[in-house]
Amino acid sequence: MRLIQFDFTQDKFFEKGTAFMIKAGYLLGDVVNTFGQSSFLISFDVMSKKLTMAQLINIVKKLENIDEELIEIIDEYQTMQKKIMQKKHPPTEVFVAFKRFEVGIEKILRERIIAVVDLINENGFSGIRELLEPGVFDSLYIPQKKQNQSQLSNVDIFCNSDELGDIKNSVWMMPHIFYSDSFFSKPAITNIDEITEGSPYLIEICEIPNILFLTVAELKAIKNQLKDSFSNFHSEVANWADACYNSSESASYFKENVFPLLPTLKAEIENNQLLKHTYNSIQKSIQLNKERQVCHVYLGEVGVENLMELYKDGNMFSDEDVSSITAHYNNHPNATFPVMLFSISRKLTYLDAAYRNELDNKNKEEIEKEIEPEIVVPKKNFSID
Amino acid sequence: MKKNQCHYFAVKIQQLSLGLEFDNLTEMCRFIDVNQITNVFIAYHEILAEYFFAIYHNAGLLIHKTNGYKTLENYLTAQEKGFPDAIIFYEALAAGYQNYHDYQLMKEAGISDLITLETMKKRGFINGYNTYKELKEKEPNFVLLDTVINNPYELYSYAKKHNFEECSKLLEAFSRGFADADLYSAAKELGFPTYNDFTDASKRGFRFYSDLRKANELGIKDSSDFGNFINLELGKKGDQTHDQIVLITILSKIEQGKKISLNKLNSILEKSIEEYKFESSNELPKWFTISFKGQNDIATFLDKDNEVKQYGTYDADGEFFEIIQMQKRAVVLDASNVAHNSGGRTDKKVYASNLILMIDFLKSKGFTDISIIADASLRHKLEDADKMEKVKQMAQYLESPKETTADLFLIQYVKRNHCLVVSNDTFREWKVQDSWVAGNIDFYRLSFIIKGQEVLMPDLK
Repeated sequence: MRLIQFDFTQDKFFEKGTAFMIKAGYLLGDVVNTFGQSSFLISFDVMSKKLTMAQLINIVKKLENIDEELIEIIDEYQTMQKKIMQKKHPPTEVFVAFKRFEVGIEKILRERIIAVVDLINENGFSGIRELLEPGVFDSLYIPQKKQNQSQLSNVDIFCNSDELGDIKNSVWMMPHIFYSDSFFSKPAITNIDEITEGSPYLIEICEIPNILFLTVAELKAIKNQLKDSFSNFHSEVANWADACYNSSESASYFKENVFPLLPTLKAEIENNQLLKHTYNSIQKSIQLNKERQVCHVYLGEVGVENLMELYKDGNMFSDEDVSSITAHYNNHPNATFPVMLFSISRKLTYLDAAYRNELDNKNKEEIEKEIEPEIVVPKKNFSID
Repeated sequence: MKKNQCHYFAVKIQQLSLGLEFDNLTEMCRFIDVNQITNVFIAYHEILAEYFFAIYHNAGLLIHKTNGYKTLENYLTAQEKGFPDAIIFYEALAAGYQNYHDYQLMKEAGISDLITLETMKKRGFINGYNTYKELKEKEPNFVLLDTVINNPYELYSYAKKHNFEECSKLLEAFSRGFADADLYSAAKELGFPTYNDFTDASKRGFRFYSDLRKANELGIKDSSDFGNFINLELGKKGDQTHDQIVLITILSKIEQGKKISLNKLNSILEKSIEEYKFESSNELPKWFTISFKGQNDIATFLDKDNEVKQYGTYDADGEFFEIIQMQKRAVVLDASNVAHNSGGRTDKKVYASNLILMIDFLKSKGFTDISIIADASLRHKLEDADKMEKVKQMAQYLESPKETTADLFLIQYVKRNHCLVVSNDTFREWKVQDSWVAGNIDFYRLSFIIKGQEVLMPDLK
């Protein structure tokens, strides 16, 4: 089973859910590939130490919360730099003054970058880089504009193109925000008995505890411990994913070949010594937090339009890209996307018809509150009455 | 005999008597060596249908059966490497094995190739097998395997299957009771010296060995009990007993301005202490210290204890405790959260002036004990970093070390001092990791809105 995590937004997106998803995918899949911004976030810690002045400026200028004064100083530096470069033999005093200025500004920029690294690590990316292993977990770069044939583009990935090589026919990892009525005109089927060909479905396959705070050694150990017992599941999911992209009988394949393996998968996860160790150590918090740190993992099939809407919403495609993708899928009418969806704390009932009817009379804010529940705040004061 | 010392010539013999016969091939080799003989005949006796090594010396023929060896050098090599006979020697040679021990091992253990054997040797499994047997006998924590290991190859195969590279690592893990390399390295990183400790910790909910060890020293039952102990100890001032700390915690959570009778307080205290009891035995843990023997002790404590005074005053005549305004209590500012407050703006910028505004506001409401805890990175994000000096003059300013989030210190500070914390952060992630935060932080948290130059804080009366 090959999993891919492909960012669906160009915005600065440091959501903890992304890091969780990557780590969970690492445990559940046999091959995981990340593309785009996550790849950048995974390597940023190491990369940040080797940034040139030009790269530092480029990154810092794009940061949120950047103060105008610093931008002005950067601009001033760049103008000075330009002038110095133009002169074949700049006067020594001028050159020395410029260098001093450069050292000072570099110090400020590097401090900003350290703050970014801290933020990325706080959001769960810490340690992910150490999990990278060729052929098992790769983090791939996607250029903004494809420069040559050997590079992959957003369109290549989305069209499951041959350029993907081994990564072709992967299962797409998705955070829970994908399952919203912005991208699903009708709810996905969540009951195995009701799934039919051509309709999106998402079937819960397992629950995993909060693994964000696990060490690299723990994650590696869990993966290795689960590897053998997951091999059947991996190969059947890989076959099912092939079917999703290429046939019109993928739903029956899922029902007949993947679904029967789920009890074993769940049992393996439940009995895994290290996951159990994790579960037990956060048991009290689980009780107090209404299972806030349990992630429900779903496997299912969604239409090209569902995923397309998500990526369009994140401005991931130009008009030209959209035309290419549409043309591609017009020629592949049976193609659907296999997805693995990670929903922290709640089950996917929130788009079900009954639930939606119930919400019909509520305002948007209330609905959002229910869809993204907060931890219940305990009483502010002891009741003494 | 030197290597390639002899030249061999094939001959046939038909006579029955062949001359002098050596006792054994070793003697023959010694003779050849001593007399520096270089020509050796390999004579086939047609009647006996047998091969002999023969040398012609001083007009006499000296012989010995070849015993299946093609050359005398082969014989010496076979002797040196421990081969019992020529058949096994040549079989081993054909399979690429140079010594009998390796060949025997290969035959017994079913090793299919020489590379495996070399790898086993390199990684210490040949010699390590004996150590394995010794350790199995004498190490009390030695692993209990569900498979039987009978030879070095089986030990190596087990290691390979369970991700051990070197035999030394395998034996180290086995000695500590671990059967799997990955589990061993993960558990080792969490500090567990043995598998028994790890499973004990898992059962009792301890993630780290350091917590388990401390819990064992203190006779603490499980992680929940341990959390209770640590949190009470954090709030301990001087020689306070645990029931006194529980009482102070109760006082710190009661709504400002309320009057509470001694009876009521006693009943809440009893109920709170109940929460520390084990469900199974309904007994308090051994570590839990008690000084209140009755309501009179509570009354005396409420009247005399200095820490109690920051929460209110005890009226001995009316037998009630009145909670004073929260302004009399210590307050700590979550600097990052306050500085990030947009105040209705959309620019998401970070201002030290928010901190100044908040401190002014708190002071205007009567707070005097104000502290600030900030992330080390905050100063780099500020739009108005020049105002930080003023902030530091206005209140006690504490900065968390680099790469350590200020939340950690903020939470410890609140746990220790039962003080109020100004933050709009619900500490959601911390609630997941720390049950104390999940159950308590909202009692102490003051949320706020900054609008222009105005601060709104609904919890303040």
